Amino acid sequence: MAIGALVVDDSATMRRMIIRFLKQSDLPDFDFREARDGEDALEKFDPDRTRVVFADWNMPRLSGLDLVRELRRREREPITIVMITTEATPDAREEIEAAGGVEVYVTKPFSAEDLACAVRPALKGKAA
Amino acid sequence: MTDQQAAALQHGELVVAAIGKLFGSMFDADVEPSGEFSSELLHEGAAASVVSLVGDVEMSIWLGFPRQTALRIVEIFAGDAVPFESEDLADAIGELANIVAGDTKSRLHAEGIKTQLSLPSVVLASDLQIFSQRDIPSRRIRFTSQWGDFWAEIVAGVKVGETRRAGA
Repeated sequence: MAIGALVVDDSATMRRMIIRFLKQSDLPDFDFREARDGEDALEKFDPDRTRVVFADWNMPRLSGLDLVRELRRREREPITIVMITTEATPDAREEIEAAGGVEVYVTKPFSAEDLACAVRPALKGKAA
Repeated sequence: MTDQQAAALQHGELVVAAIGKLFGSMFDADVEPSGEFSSELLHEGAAASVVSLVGDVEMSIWLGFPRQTALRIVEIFAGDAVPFESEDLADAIGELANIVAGDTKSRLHAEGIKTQLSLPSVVLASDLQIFSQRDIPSRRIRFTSQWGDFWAEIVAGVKVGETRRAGA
C-alpha cells in the first residue's frame, strides 16, 4: 500500500519536481496529494491517510512554521514532516529546530538522490 | 560607485557559484560563464525573473532566458512542455531565480553578510530591451548551457523595478 504524501509548495513547478524525484527514487510508493500553500495543505491533510508531508518553508497565507504546528496538533498517527527551503543559513536552521516538529530538512537546490537520501531514514517502517 | 555597491558586485562570483549548483544538482548539467550576453537573443522573446537581497549588502539578481532556452529548461524542470506565455512558465522561471537568490544568501551569510530576500518578480515578453542606468553599477554574465545561452545580472544597491523596462 502506498504511503499517503502531501506536497506543499506555492510553486507548482517545485511540487511537480518533488513528486517526480520521489517517483524516480527507490523509496516506497507514494499516493500524492498537492497543496499550493499552508491553508490549502490543512484542507487536504487527511489524518487517517497522510503519513508524510513535504512542505516549503516560505509560503503565502500560512508559513511552513505555522503549518507544522497545526499539523502536529491535528495528527492522529505520527507523520513525517520534511521541510524544503531555500534558506540554508544557520539562523534559518536554528529557527526550524527551535520550532520543533520537523524531522527532515532539505535545502534547495537538491538532486533526486539528495532528496531520497534525506528522506529515506525517516520513512523506515512507514510502508505497509 | 559607493563602497557598498562595489561590495555587491564583488559578490557576483557567489551568484555564479549558486547558478552552477542549481543546474548541477537539479538538472544534472554543467553551465559555464561565457562572456558578454548579446541582447539580440532577446528579440525572439524572453523570460526573466528578479529577486532582491537587502541587508548588509543590497543587490538585485536577475536571471533571464531567451524564449527557446526558457522553453527547453522549463520542460526539464517541470517535467512537461509548457506554453511560453503561461503561469507555469512564469512560476518555473521565478522559482529558479528564487533558488539562486536563496543559495546566494546562504553563501553571503557564510562570509558574515546577512541579507533578506524579496519574492521573485517575473517578466515574460515577446521582445525585451534592457536599459541600465549609467550611474548604477551592474554586472551582466552570459552562461552557456546545453539548452541555449542565458544570462544573470547583478545590480548593486537598487530596488526591484528601478532599472529595467520591458517592451512588447
